[in-house]
Amino acid sequence: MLVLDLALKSLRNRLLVTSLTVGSIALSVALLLGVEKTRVGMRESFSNTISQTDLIIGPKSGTIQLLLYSVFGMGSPTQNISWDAYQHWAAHPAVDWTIPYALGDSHRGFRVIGTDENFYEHYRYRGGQPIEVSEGEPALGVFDVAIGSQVAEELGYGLGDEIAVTHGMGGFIQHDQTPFTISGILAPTYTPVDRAIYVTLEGVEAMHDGWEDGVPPASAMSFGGGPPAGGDEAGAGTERAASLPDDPAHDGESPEENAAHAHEPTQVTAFFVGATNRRDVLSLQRDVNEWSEEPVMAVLPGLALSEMWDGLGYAEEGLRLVSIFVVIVGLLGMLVSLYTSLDARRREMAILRAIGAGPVRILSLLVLESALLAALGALLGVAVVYGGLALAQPWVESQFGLYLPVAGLSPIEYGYLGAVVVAGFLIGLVPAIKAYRTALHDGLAVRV
Amino acid sequence: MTETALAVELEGVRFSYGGGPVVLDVPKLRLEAGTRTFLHGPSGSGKTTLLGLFAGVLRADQGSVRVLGENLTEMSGARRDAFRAQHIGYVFQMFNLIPYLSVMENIVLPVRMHGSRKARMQQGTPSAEARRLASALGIDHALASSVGALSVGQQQRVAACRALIGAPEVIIADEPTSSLDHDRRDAFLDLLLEACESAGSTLVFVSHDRTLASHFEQEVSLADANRAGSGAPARAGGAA
Repeated sequence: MLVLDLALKSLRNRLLVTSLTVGSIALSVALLLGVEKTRVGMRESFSNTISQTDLIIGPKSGTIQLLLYSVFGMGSPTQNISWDAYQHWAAHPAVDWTIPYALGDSHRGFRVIGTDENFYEHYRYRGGQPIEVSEGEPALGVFDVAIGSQVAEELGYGLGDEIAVTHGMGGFIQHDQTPFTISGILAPTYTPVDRAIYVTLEGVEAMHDGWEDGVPPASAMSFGGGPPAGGDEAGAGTERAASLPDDPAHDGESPEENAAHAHEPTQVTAFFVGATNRRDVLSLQRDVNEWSEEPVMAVLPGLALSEMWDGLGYAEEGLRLVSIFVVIVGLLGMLVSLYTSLDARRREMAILRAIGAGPVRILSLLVLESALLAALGALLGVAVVYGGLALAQPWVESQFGLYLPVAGLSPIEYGYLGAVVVAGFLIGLVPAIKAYRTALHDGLAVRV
Repeated sequence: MTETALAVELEGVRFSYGGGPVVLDVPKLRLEAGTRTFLHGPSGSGKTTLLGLFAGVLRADQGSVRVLGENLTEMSGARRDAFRAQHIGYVFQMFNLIPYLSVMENIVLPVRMHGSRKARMQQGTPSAEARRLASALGIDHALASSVGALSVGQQQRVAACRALIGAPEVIIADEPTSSLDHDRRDAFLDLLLEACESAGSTLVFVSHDRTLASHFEQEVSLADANRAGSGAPARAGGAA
């Protein structure tokens, strides 16, 4: 108790140096914990980009590829699934609901996704949050579109605006003959949903009417400002023509006529599946993968996402390594300050010796001081992290789409804090052993 | 402890710092219990080293150092530390106080270091005892001030209070007056002698200033006692 009391009073006496040391340790600990929290937050955000979906079914290709274009809106699908195949699996008894996705078109760099009302009803992200329409209505009419919050913000669109859709990502051919009207704007989700434009499956068919040979119908063809590029499907992954029956009925129709009759969907690119019972998911996946009628595959999104994240994990390792080094530098700063204070404290050590303090007590006083500094630094670092988290959380979420939960310390983080205190203790041994030797050797003579 | 008992007894003591030249070579030195001894020695004659041996902070390479009848040379370091905490009060030449403790905390420190110092206190609590000593040494008004605000003379009196608390059998004072001016020196000396008297403590007072010797019952010259002489390396080497 005496040693603890002395250590605390000695630290308080050197308040400036103490607070600078504690501050530098706190900042380095805050960085370490901040990196860890961000890492976990990124991982959580990533694997929660989509939730409560049991399977993603798409044409046979790579798992990551399917995940990228269906969930993350990256890359282009090379094949589609027929409407019949979609219907077949949607009607499967183990399937509760499905969300179809028809991809392949874009508007000013944003993806256009053909889907249906199930998207608004069943799509979930980040632990089960539903899609919400902040303004207007879901896009359920043939020429309705609902736009993600970021699309609305970046392009300055509002309800009732008319937009044209380009075939393929960034292609030149525009479906001018079928202008769409914005019927709804989705609330921010901070997932790729915000950067997409949603139309109905019928809308996709309507804009592709007469494109059965891969080019627009001659009477309605227009070019989006580039060189004539008839039949240019570079970058346009979807090959609708392949599986479509010839449908000459719509050739040469005006947009009004086009809208007037029904547009039965003919294909989807992929679809999300919610199972009636989670226990059936694996057998359903096997059934899909072994289906002989069409080359389709089913992936478990949770598993695929974590596999994908592991592939990206080396970056987080690097980040963690850097922050560990910063903590080491912070602790070395403490060593320097303790070591330089030692000379000034030789008189104090001699007084304590004269009063009857053994060299071990001198040693424990100094070790205790450094352990206290490290512990205070670690505590303050935790406070800084949580304070920062509470303050910056909304901003980080809106700026980076990264949701950092204010959760308790994880076992890894407790481990880090323990390691910092232990390291402080060990580092304190260096000046303490020097003081111990001085105490033994010099006795009461103080050689300044 | 009877009047004829020895407080300190050195026999055949040799000491060197870390295997260096011998700085102390004392064939025989005896200080009777309850006496007030003036130990005279010029600077560099090994006074502080000798006091380190008395206090058990240093351990003699050869010979025996008996304090209150116990041979410190045969004790473990930890036992010597405990012995010092129990039986010895020490006053340095200057900078006696721990700067981050209050005056009161400085005075009661020996009691906190070793509980046995409570046994011979005249007051029930360490702080009451500290107030009693402070008032005896005329610094009761300074108890509330911070250590840094005290004058050198006040600091030395606080140090004397700390050495005296719990009435240890031996008080060692290492040039405690050398930082004081003439008037304060005499005043301090009188107070210290009086306090030792009333505590029944043996006082070993070391100084290079021979004019102080008249205050003491006996005088020992370190130059005579120490064959390693003035500590000059050449002579010390010769003695070794």
